[in-house]
Amino acid sequence: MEDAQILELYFARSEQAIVETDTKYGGYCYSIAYNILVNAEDAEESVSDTYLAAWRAMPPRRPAILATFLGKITRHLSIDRWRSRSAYKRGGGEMPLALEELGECVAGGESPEQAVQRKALAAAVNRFLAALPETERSVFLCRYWYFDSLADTAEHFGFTESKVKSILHRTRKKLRAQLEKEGLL
Amino acid sequence: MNANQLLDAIGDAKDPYVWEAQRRRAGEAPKAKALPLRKSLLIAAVIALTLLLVGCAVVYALRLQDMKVGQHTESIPTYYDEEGNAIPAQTRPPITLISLQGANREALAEWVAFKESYDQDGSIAIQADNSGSAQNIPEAYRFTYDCYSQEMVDKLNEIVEKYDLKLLSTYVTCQYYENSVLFGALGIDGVCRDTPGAEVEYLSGYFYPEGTFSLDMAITMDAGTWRCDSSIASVRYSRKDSFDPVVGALDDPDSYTQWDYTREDGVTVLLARKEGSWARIYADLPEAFLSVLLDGDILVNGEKVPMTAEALEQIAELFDLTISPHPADMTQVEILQAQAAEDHKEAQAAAQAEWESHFTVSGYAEFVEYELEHSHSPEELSYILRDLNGDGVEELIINGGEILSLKDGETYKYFDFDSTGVFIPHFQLCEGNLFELYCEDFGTYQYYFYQANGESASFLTGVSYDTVNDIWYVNRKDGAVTENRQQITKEEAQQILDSYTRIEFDWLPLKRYGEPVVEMNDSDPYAKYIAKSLYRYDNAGNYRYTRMDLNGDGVEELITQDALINQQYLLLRVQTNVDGKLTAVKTGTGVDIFTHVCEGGILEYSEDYDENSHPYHAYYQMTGDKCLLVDSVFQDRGSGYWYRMSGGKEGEVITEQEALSVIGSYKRIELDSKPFPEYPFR
Repeated sequence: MEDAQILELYFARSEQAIVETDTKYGGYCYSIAYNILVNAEDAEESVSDTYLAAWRAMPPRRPAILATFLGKITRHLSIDRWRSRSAYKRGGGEMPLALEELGECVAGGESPEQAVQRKALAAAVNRFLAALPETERSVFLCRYWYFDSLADTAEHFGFTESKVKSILHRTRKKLRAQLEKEGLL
Repeated sequence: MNANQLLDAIGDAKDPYVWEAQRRRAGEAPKAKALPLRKSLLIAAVIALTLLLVGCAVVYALRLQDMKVGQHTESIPTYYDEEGNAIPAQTRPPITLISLQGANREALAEWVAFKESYDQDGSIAIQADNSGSAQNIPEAYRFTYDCYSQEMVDKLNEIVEKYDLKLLSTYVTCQYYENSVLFGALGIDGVCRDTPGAEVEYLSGYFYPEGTFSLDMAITMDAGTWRCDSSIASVRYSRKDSFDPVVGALDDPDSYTQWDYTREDGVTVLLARKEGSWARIYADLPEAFLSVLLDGDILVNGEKVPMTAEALEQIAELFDLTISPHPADMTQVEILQAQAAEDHKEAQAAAQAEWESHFTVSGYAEFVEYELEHSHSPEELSYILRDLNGDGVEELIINGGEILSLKDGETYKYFDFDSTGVFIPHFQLCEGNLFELYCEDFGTYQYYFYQANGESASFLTGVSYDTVNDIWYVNRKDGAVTENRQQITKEEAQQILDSYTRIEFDWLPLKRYGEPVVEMNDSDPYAKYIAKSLYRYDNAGNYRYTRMDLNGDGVEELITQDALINQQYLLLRVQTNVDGKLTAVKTGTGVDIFTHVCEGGILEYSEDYDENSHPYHAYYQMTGDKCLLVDSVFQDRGSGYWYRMSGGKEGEVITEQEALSVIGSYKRIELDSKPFPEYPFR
């Protein structure tokens, strides 16, 4: 079913909206959640929470791209779930590895200035992404948005793992340079 | 800041980028399946005659209004101004819910009414979710009918018993490469008939083991007077002997133009269309009901226009209304799924192999042809031909990509820029069979030098600059590997860089490969930009330019309408002359495209192309070679409310009248533009 139809169902408060969402984007959301949580049960819960959040958000929200709207909710919920879980123990999966890699881009240890800095940071990240060639942008997002493993990312693009590593290394370096240049580090 | 915060910020990446990456994760879509031409018009004529003889044509009385099973009115939260008065918002028309099954409408209306009134605040759903009690609901009730409480199960059972209906089982989903599973499991070949000039690409869908299914597809069709290019259609085939809970939704049914159309095979279908909405096809068949939702636009002379009656009737002929899905054998479904996964894997491997093989072809011309054909922006590709290694054979150098050479009449990949570790590699020729790949973009400074050898190039020296710590490094082996780099002084770095002698050259458009080279020597950077555009882009003769001093510094800016970004609407690109160098005028957020120039040198970017776009107006003031947002006004289509952000303040809800007043306060200027070819070149 097309996204516009699914949105119509949400706005019609038809619960079939959830069924159609699950049919079309269940696998997509699950892959995001599983990459972060590495636990089928937790991932399924995050996906269920995603649907509930989507149901509450639409209406009034009418996302331009339904998939990424859902994906963002899943990512957010899954990271929250991972953080609360890892407060007790260190989990597996790509999330801690991705965090370690991104540690290269930031200074760390500084106290957060919360919302203001987050907004500025998000805007800077989007400017950074806008300037990247499509392939590098997609490689970067597969790793740090979707938390795909290096091997999976390499397979998506038909690259070797070392090439993916190389692209990520360059991209992180550039991100760090840009954040530094914009006074965000 | 820490890595966690950065991770959150990456989560706010713009949707198009996230979706772009997802497309790569999901793999490329398979090629369209071409339907073979219809075998014989004679056969069609015989079928039509047979149908006439048996009297299959029926008088059709179905209308959208008849399919209604419920209605929903959207509620919009109210915003208040500073004095506590409610800000008026648009009222939204009710949404009509329709049956997609043809039969069992009373049962569905009862079920829809129950669900509309049940658990309105969602508390039961939340409780069921938190307690896990929903897990105890039988799977088909939970997934197919979305029941999350025993009360709902009981109500559903009551309805199916009352109307003597069967329940559907849990559905099976199919990815775009698994539509063969749907067809195989249900024993059908597809849902379209062989039709001249039509191609159908089946996409994702799902089916119930009982035979009801939904399937998306992309239709490409050329009917001569009109055509559609990968128009999306969504088909639902709903068997009447089971209770189908899926409802369709549409706005006012009375606003649609509806008519019966009798197809060539004698079957009458209901067609409905409305400008700005989906086109619809409904066929009430003996055992099932088929509904098709179609993209509401077609192309006439290359322009998008609303679906015509003629076009919709022709599209209605595409669908095979004789299909009769049989119940699925679920043990076979697993086998079909495994086969589909294997086929998909093979297709991906074949695509990768094809990509690798394109580097080995009989001559540069064939390679260039492939590159141009497979590039998303072929006009942006550049090349030069140079004998890099002095063996008498010119290498083909593609900017930002790779270097090819020739051996025994065949091309081969001589050097791949991607393997070097240079972030955004730019190629530079140097004296002595040497070349450089460098990057000076976005604060990254890398300069790597290579020796062109017989059949490949080898790394010589790399110099890089760490802008964060103000440190220069040199690499003497293994390219950009940081482990091997050594810290050097700025002077030492400069000495290394100066030891290579660069050779100036101009890139040529790859589209012009094989043509005589045209020299451009104008000292005016605007003239050079326009001349290069005319040489590179086929339609640049239609591009227009204006010169205007926007920031009052005495230097005229170059404003061009070159349609490079959006082919449907002309957009403005603004560039200025900074010390003889062409410099793009950008906003702080990287916006470098505008739609209008307003009085006072204000640049406007608006999205009000048509009634379907979100009204959005942003106004920028140029300062130096940058521009700053001074005002923006936009309407949220979901709620109908207008918002304003100005002077760095948080956004606020305003009335429509206030919004229109803001928009009206910026007076657009009619640009006195001229075609590119009329630029006064020296």
